[in-house]
Amino acid sequence: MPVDDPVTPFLRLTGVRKTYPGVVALAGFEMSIAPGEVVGIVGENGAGKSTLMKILGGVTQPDSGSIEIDGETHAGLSVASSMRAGIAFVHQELNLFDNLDVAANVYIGREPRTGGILNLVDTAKMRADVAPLLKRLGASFAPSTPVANLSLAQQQLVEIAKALSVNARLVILDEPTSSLPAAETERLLEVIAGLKAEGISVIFISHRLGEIERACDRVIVLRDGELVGTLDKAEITHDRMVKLMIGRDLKVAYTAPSTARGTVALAADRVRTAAFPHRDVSLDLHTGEILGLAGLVGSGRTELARVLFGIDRSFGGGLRLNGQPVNFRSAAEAVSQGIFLVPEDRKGNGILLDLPISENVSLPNLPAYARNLLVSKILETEQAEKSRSETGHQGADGCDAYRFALGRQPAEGGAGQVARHAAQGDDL
Amino acid sequence: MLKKDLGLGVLILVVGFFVYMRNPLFLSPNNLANTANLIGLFGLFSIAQGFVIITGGIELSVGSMIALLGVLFVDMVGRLGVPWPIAGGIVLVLGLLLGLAHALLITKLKMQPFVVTLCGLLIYRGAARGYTADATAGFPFGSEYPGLDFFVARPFGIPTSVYVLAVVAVIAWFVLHRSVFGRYLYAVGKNEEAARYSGIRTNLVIAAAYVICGGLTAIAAIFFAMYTRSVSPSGHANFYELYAIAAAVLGGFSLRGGEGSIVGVVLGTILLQILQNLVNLLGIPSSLNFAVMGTVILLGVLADQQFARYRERRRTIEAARASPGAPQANPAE
Repeated sequence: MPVDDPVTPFLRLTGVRKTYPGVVALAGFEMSIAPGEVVGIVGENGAGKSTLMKILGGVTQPDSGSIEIDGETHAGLSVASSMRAGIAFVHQELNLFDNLDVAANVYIGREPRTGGILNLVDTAKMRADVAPLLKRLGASFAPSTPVANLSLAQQQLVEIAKALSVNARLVILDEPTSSLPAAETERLLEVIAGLKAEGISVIFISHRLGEIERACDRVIVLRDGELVGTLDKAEITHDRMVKLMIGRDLKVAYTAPSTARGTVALAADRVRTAAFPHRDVSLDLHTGEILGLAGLVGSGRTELARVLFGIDRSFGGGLRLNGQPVNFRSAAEAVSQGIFLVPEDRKGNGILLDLPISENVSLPNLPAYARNLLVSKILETEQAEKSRSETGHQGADGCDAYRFALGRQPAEGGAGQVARHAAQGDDL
Repeated sequence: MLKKDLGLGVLILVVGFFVYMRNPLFLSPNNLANTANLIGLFGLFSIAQGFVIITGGIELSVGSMIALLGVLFVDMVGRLGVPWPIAGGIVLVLGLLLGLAHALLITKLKMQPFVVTLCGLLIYRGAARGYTADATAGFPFGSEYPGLDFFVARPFGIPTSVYVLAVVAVIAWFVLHRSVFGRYLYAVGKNEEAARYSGIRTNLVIAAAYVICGGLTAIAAIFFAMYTRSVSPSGHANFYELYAIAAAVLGGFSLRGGEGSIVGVVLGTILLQILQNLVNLLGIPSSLNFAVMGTVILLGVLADQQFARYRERRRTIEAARASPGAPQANPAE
C-alpha cells in the first residue's frame, strides 16, 4: 500500500518481514510517516507492534524489506543509527535507572562532558538543560530529584523528557498512557500536539482507542503481523478500529449471569491498604461470581488485591472466608484456602519463564502432585493438558504468558480468585 | 548515601572510643600507625572490589591473586635479581592481564562472575604454591634493596600505604562519582539491558571494572609482599577477597549492583581494621577474630536495611496522607 504523500516522508518501510521460530511477527509491512504527522498504531496483543518497534529502535533487524529515512535506504537499523536518525522511544516498560537522578537519566549515554581528558560529567549543564524540558511537560519535580522518589506517572514524564532532549524527529510512544492517571494523560496529549506543531512525527501506540481517536492524524491497524487497514483522520472511529483489529464486528455478547448468586465466599470488611491508609474498602464476593475492580492506576486496586492474597498485611479491617474471619500472613496461606492471584506483571510475578509449562501449573499446589514425597511428572503433565484444553491455549509463543498463570488456578477448584487486570491490554 | 556514610563514621568513632576506654594503647602512635598501614593495604583492594561490585559482579580471586603476584615479586627481586621497579611493573601488568582475562570470560563468553573468579581463586592459589613447591618465598638474609623500603616507610609518621590509599581513593572518587565512566558503571549495575539500549557499551564498562580491579590488586600485592617480607603461598592473603566484599557491603554497596560509594567502602575498611585491632587489644582470643567480624557485619547490614525499610514505609504512609484521594504519590520537591 504505497502512500503518495505530497511531502517527502520522514520514514518509509517497504516489505518489512520478520519471523521468529514458528511465528511470523511481521509479514511484509508497509508504512510511511510525514514530518509532523501523528500516526496511531493499534492491534491486539501479538499483532506485531512490539516487533515493529524493535526494528525501528534498531534492537532487532528485519529478515527482508527496507527502511527508508529521509530518502536513504537501510536494510536494518542499529541502536546507534536509529538514535542518529532522530528516532526516540518512550517505552511501555520504563527503562529508567532509579539509582540516578532525573537529569542523569535524561542524558544517559550522551552526557555533556567537562574537564577535558578527565571526561567528567557536566552535572550543572545537564540540570540546566533538563529544567526547561520538565517545565514544558508540566512536571513538578526538579532535575536533581532521584528517580527512586518519583511516582510511576512522574517517571513516565522523565522518559518523555528524554525523548524530547535528543531533538527527536520521530517520537514513538509505546502505550505511554496505560499507566497514567487522567490529568497526566491530558497533559501528554497536549505534549503530542506540541510536538506535531514543531514538525516532529509521532507514532502513538495505545489500547485506549479514545486517545488514538483524539490525537492521531492517521491510524494503522495491525493483525497477526499484517497491515489490515489504514484510517485517515475523518475515518477514525472506535468501531472501525475495533472491527479492523479483530477482523469482524464486535458483537456485544453479554449474557446475564445466572441470577442465583451463591453464598458470600470472600468478604472484605473495611480493609485499609498502604495506598490509602485512611480510606477503607468493603466488598462481598459470592461463589460463582466474577467481580470487577475498576479504577485508575494508583487508585489502590493492586494494593487491595495484594492484601486479599496475603502478600501485604492490611492496615486495618478484616477478611472473612465463607463467613469465618481469616488473617492471611502469606500468599501460601491464601493458596491453601483456595485463593489465587493472576498478577498484573505476569512475567515478573506470575510465571517462571525458564520452567516447562507443566511445572509452572503445578507450582502453587505442588504437594497435590506428589507421590511419596516425590513430584510426579505424570500428574503434572495431566493437569497441564487439562488446563490447556480449558483455556484454549495453543502453543508456547510467549504472547500470552497470562494464560499459563491462569492455568494454575483450576488445579484446586478455588473458592474465589483475585484476577487483576484480567482484560489488561484488551480495552475493547 | 551521605547519611549512610555519616552513620558508619559515627559507628567507627564509637567503637574506637570504646576500645580506647578499655585499652589506651589503642591511640598509641605505634598502634595507630600499624592500624593505618593495614587500612591502607586493605583499602586498596577493597576499592578495587567496589568497582566490580557496582557492576553487579564479584571478584573472589583477590586473595589468591595477592599471593601469586606477591610470590612472583619477591622471587623476581630476591632470587632472580630483577631490579624492583621492573619487577613491580611486571606484576602490575600481570594484574591487569588477569583482570582482563576475567573480563573477557564474563563479557564475551557470558560466564558468571562468581564462577570465573572462584576458579581464579583456586587456580592462582594453586599456581602460587606450585611455583615455590609450597616453600616460602623470601629475600636472602641480609640483602638490601635501595628504594624498596619506600613501601614500608613512614614519612611524617604515616605509612606510605596510607598516602597511596588517599591518592587512589581521591582518583577513584572522581572516576566513580564524577566521570562519565562512573555514571555508566552505576547504570550498567542497575539495569544492564536498559544501559545497552541507551547506547552504552556495557561490555566495555564491565570489562574496565575488572581490569581496574586487577591493577589495584597488583599494587596491593606488592605492598603486602613488602609488609610481610616473605610470602608463604599457602596462607598469604587467605580470605582477603571476603574482607573486601565485607568492607563494600558495610559501606553501603548492594551485591545486586548499582549502589555504593568510595567513601563508604573506605569507611567500611576502617571499621573492619579497627575491629581486628579490638580483638587484639581487648585480649579476645584471636581464634574468635572472624566470629567478631562476622557478627558486626551481620548486625550492621541488618540494622541498615531495617532502617531503610522503616523509612520507606513512613514515606508511603506520609505520601498517602499528604494527598488523600490524589491518584499518585506526592511530588518530591
